[in-house]
Amino acid sequence: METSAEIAEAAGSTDPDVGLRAVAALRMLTERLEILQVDNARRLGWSWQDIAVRLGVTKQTVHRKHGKRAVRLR
Amino acid sequence: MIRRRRRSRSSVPLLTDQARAIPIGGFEHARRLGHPYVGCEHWLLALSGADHPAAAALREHGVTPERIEEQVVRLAGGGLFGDLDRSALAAVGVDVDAVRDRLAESLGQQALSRASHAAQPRDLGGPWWDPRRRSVGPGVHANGVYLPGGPGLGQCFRAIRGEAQAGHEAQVGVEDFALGLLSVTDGLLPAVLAALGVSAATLRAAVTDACRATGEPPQR
Repeated sequence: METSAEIAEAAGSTDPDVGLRAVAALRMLTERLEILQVDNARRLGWSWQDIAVRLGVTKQTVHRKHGKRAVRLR
Repeated sequence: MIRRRRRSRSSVPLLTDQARAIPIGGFEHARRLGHPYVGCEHWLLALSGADHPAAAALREHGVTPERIEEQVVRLAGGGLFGDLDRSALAAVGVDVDAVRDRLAESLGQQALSRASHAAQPRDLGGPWWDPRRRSVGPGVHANGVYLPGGPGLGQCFRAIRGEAQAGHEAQVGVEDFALGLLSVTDGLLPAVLAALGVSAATLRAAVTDACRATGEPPQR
């Protein structure tokens, strides 16, 4: 994988098609990674508050998004 | 003392070594693609790459591992990262395969399969099959990972057993797997064959001819 600077440079591509598709794909990738990491954290016994702090959102937001699914993990 | 009843050996046909590799290979394909189940399409994927006249007959009709996988990914999705725009991500320096491999290494393949399943209803436009809602067919358990059987797998088991019994064979061979798989009407497999532009009947005839020509057990 390239460095952050290189990624930032490519993300700022002058071709809007490439740039916008990259932004959309990165958003989807982030969503998937969030599911994986939140599930992992819950499995390791992390509280919703701890997860929310790391994600930079409120406890209610993270619980609303992942609570229903994470219940099944137990 | 409770004595456990022994299962009749005749009800559980033994597989040849090559035939045994098919469900194992199918399981690995399902895991690799991040699918939360093992289906007939994964078995067909494993079968099509085998070194056997039945597999060669399939390949001659365009049913190759690459083409099957392409259709399976198109129809069922390619796991947690399968639907991401790879070329766009590559343009910004993100190698999706490297990310997936790294995560599988650190969190485990099962975590990826679970997350893939969790992500599907909302992000992947709905799964073609949700194992939470419907449990059909036998599951497969290997190396501490369990994947439930998808639709059609139970039907496939019965068809394979039927092929072996009708041929009075002592062992279930690759040709029985091929004919059994090609008689399945449930699940994703019929759609995969349709997308490849071949009919199951044509393939069955080709497999039968190929096995007969090479001296494999006679087929019906």
